[in-house]
Amino acid sequence: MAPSPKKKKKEKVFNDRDRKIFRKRISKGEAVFGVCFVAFTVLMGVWFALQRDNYDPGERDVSDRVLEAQSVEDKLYRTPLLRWTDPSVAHAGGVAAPDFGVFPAAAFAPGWAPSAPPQTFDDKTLYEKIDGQEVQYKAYGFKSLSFLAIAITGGSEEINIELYDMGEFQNALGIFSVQRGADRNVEANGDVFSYMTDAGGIGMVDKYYFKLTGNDSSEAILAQSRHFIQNFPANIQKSGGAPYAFSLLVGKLGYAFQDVEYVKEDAFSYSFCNDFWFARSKTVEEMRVFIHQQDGPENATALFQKIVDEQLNEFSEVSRDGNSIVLKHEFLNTFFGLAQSGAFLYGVEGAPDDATLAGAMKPVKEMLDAEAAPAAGTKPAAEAKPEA
Amino acid sequence: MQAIRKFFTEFDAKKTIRITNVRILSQIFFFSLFIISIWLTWTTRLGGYPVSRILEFNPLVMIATILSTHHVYRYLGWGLLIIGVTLLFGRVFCNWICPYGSLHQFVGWLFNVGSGKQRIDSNRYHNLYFFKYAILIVFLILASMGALQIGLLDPICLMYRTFATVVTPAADMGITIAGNGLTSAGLPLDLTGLKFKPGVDDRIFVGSFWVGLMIMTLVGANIVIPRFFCRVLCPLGALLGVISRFSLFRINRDVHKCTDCNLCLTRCEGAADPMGQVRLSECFSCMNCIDDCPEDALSFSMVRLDTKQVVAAPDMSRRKLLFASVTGVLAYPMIKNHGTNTDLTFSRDLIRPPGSVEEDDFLAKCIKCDQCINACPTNVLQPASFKEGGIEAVWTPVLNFNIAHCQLKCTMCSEVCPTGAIKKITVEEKLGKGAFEKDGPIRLGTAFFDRGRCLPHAMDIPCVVCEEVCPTSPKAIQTKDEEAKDVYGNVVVLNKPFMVPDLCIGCGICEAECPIKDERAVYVTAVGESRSIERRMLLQERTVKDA
Amino acid sequence: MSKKEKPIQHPEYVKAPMERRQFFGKIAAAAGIASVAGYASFAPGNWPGSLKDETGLLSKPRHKPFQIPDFRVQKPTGVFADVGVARGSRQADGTYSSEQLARMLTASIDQVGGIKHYIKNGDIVLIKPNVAFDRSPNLGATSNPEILETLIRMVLEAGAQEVRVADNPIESPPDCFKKSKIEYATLKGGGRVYLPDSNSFKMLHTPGARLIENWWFFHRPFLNVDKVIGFSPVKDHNLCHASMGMKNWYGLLGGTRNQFHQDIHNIVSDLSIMIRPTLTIVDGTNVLMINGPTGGDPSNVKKGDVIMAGTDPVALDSWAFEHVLERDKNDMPTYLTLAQEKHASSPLKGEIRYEMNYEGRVKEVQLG
Repeated sequence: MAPSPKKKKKEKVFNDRDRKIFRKRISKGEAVFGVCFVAFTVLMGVWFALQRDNYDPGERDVSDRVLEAQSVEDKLYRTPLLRWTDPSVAHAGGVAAPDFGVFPAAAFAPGWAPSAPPQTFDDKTLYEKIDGQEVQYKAYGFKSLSFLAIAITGGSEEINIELYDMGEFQNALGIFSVQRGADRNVEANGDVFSYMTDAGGIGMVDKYYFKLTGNDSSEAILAQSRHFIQNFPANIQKSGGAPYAFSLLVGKLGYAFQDVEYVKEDAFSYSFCNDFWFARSKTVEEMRVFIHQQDGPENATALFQKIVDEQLNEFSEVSRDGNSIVLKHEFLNTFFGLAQSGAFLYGVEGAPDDATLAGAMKPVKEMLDAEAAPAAGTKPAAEAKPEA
Repeated sequence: MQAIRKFFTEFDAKKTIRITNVRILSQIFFFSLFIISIWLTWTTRLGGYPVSRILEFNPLVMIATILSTHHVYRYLGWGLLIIGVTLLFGRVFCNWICPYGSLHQFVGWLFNVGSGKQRIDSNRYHNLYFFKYAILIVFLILASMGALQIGLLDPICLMYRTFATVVTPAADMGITIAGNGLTSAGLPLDLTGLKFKPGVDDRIFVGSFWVGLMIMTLVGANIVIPRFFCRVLCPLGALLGVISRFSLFRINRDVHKCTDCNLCLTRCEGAADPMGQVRLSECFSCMNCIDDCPEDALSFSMVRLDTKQVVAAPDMSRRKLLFASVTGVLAYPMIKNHGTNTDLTFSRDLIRPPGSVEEDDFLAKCIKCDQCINACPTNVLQPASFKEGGIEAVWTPVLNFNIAHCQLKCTMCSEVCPTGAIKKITVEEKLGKGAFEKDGPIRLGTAFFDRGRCLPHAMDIPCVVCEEVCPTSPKAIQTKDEEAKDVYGNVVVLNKPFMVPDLCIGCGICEAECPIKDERAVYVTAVGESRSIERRMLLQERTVKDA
Repeated sequence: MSKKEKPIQHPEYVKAPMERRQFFGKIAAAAGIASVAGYASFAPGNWPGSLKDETGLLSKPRHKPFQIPDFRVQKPTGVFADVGVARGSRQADGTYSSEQLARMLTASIDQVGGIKHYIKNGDIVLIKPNVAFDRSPNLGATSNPEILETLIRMVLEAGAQEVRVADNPIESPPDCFKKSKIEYATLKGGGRVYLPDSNSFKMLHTPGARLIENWWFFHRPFLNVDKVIGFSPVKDHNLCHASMGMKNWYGLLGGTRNQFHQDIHNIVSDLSIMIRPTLTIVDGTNVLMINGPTGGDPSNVKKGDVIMAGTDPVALDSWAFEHVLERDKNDMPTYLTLAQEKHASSPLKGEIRYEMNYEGRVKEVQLG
């Protein structure tokens, strides 16, 4: 490349001139002033730095003492939580929601609506509804009765629904067993036990015992009764379900619902035998299997011994094998078997012979041993006994 | 090495400590003081440091606020000190103290590469330089009628404002970027302590571009006309110019020694014509001309002054004076009747910081220095644009709750305000506790719900951040709780919020935290602010009925 | 040449024709620049050196997520409690003596193995208090600074080389740390405060999280950390019922976290798998019973007089919900159930239990 004809003048970005000083005289006053001024700036800087803590921290916060003195209790009104309701039920097309009381709306088929306001009775007012019968209910621990009359729209059919809250499963079962027609076959559907009548249905679930009584034996009434039995249990608040012994007899050992009986007190006419479950044998007449649950194995052993001691007044010992015993009645010649497994006592009464007794005992023993043995000393399952 | 040796061999104490060097020292000192003040204006650093003192020594602020309020707030009386110094030495403030002046001088010195002849020409007096006196007159007349506008051009206010909204965020952003760069390079140095505002997200200021553009333009103007701002626009310089005609000391030219070489103009900062009749109102007392005079004809003295070689009064003819006065008188009704900021019609976004005085009074006191904005730890304080307060309130502080909220127990803005537009309050006063129980808390405004945008109200989606963060006790946002089944069949619990206006203090944290980010479903508006009865909303507060 | 040449007036106007070499040089430079630029802009994206972005997605900003380790430590053999609870009484003036606090804190940690088991020599320990608001310490909205100071001392005595204290408050961080006295307590105890600023957040990857699989996380204090301790108060919370040990980790999130309230139970349970702390310490001395989580009035606060420490934050929160906040077991926040489920299905679950059922896993001591 050819050299540029003349060296280009360098472009200045910044001023590169020195600070020239042309004057010749610099007065002494300047020096004096300069020193004074430097001293002044130093003083000023020091003063500035010293101001660091020159403030009142109390002004930048509010003390606990003041807050405490002016503390106001919060008394505002707060609306409680509004629960969700199905608007199709609650406000169908601008029509006011039907008042089913405690009954879940889902238990009613379309077309059915209350014909009178729902009513509730407790043990003091129960006679107003069922004068004369209340003694029977109260004997089984009656808590409350909810009553609802429903009618079909555009028809003459009506159903009266009685829902008894019996407090616990055993009570509901008790009143159900008493009121049940002896020839009725009870359908078991999960934890719902019920049967259909000519114009309605009767049944129980959990602690509830319910009766539906129609004014006719029409298909509509039966359909609604079935609808109720199917949908009501799923929509109520449950308390704990069936006790373990009951589910064992009905569910696992295959005894029919109507053959199972709960004896709350004085089983075998002994005042110390309470809370026993009996199941009639389907094959052998007069023979019953029973199960009882104690609080722990020690108590079970004690009760076992007590029963055997009392029974020996009328029975004679046939055989004994650890914690199981077979006795024979001295006059009736029936056999009585009793055994213990963990916290459970079980046995058979009224067996015609030794072999039948053993045959009836065996499945119960297997069930209890299989389920109770590993957790010996504790209850076999948390839901074994509903809370009182 | 050579430089050090040179320094010691050629060291001349007298030459080193000469007046121009002392002046540079003073400029460095006051500029540093200014930067340190800005740096200390932060919630973790403030302590008792007088970080607004440079503003409080400003005589223009003092005189203008006296005109607009007829009182002297807190430390503003210190402006007398500068007036006194001016009466002694002339406009030394401009070239010895003013950080904005130092900035201009530095930039001019750095970039002014012209030849000696060019420099001499650029430092001659120009009749444009009268303009600052016109500005001063307009501002002072406006102030005396109650509209304080000096802050637009007062150099100290301008400097504080620029640093608060432009320089410190930019510096912090740079440190953030550097810190992130170092971290990703595997050098996790903690640079937080270097920041102007450590411990928070980098801050933003709505409309700060215009503040930045203003200072860029004014600083850039130095390349065309040296110290353009100081010579042409500065109202504080004009005020000191008027005073400095009475000054005891001044530049004096010995006509017998002078050879009319004009070298004294080479570095004359004020364009004060030292080569002829010295213009006292223009001279910054920078002393450069003394250094530059090869004949020792110039001196800064109070004895044996030549009264003939002097122009004492500012270059203001009576015609200009009249014109400026009329402009000022007419500007007042123009501003006020613009009607964007009256009790009849005001922006709902005109939410003032806690402790602010009533709006008319506020506008008579606020000098737009934005020191409150500089101090605000949450970034909620923003310089107003035309939108919030109209033309009169541009760059005054307003709260923008889209960005942040007003911290419950913070009174920083009120502590640093030099003029009492935000009067100094304590936390107890802000919360209405202690001795202030009777007055109740300071309310900045009132929150409202836009139920069409609120998630639980409009869309069956749970939310209530607003209720959670509401700082009052009991909460000013309460909820009506209900279950609902959404379109997908889920039953959800909705806490539907509503306002209890009696309890709301307008702190805006609900708005700041609302997830509907563009137009919040809960928003605070100015109505109901406790500083003004005219802008009040509730006649009285409801109380709990005892059952 | 006989013709007389005119003298050249302006030497800079003398012709200087371009040489051949110069010409080819220029051509070569132009061709080189054109081919490199052409390659970079037109070659397919997977070729080396190509800048091609066919879909426009390559230039999308990407935040490389990082992961934090599991900070849990196996309990020493023979220690069965997962939650240690220490109860102690106050002095006559309603405050605790610092010795009492130290005793309570030590006792609660001792039930689950003792601080020396969890903190080893030279560890860098991060303590995460709850500093969400700028309330005074006694109002129960923030962690108790006195206990924090004791805890820092204890961790340092156990051999830690550094204790860090960090939180990302909802309100202004410097003010919250100052007014809640957490900053003072930290410095007095010998720790170091980390405030969140724009430098502090990084994308965190949490496998298995529903809402925060990749989310901004306050990562700076986590650099080289060996052990993490959560330290939170017990507070009422309208939306999620209670803010205790697990909700405390919310304070490490960045980004637009105010959206998380739309699914609060999922986010709180996500936090339990986002960070698996060495220890969770829950302070039940000043319990915010109503108006949470901000509080503000002393009447909202109950004196609980209990400090809890545990390796299982789920059990700890369940216990505190019932016994400190005194709420019904049936109202237990859903996030606890979700946390238990998420932990059970997490690949990182390890042997330490995260279960709501605290039966038989809580050990209580009563101090004077």
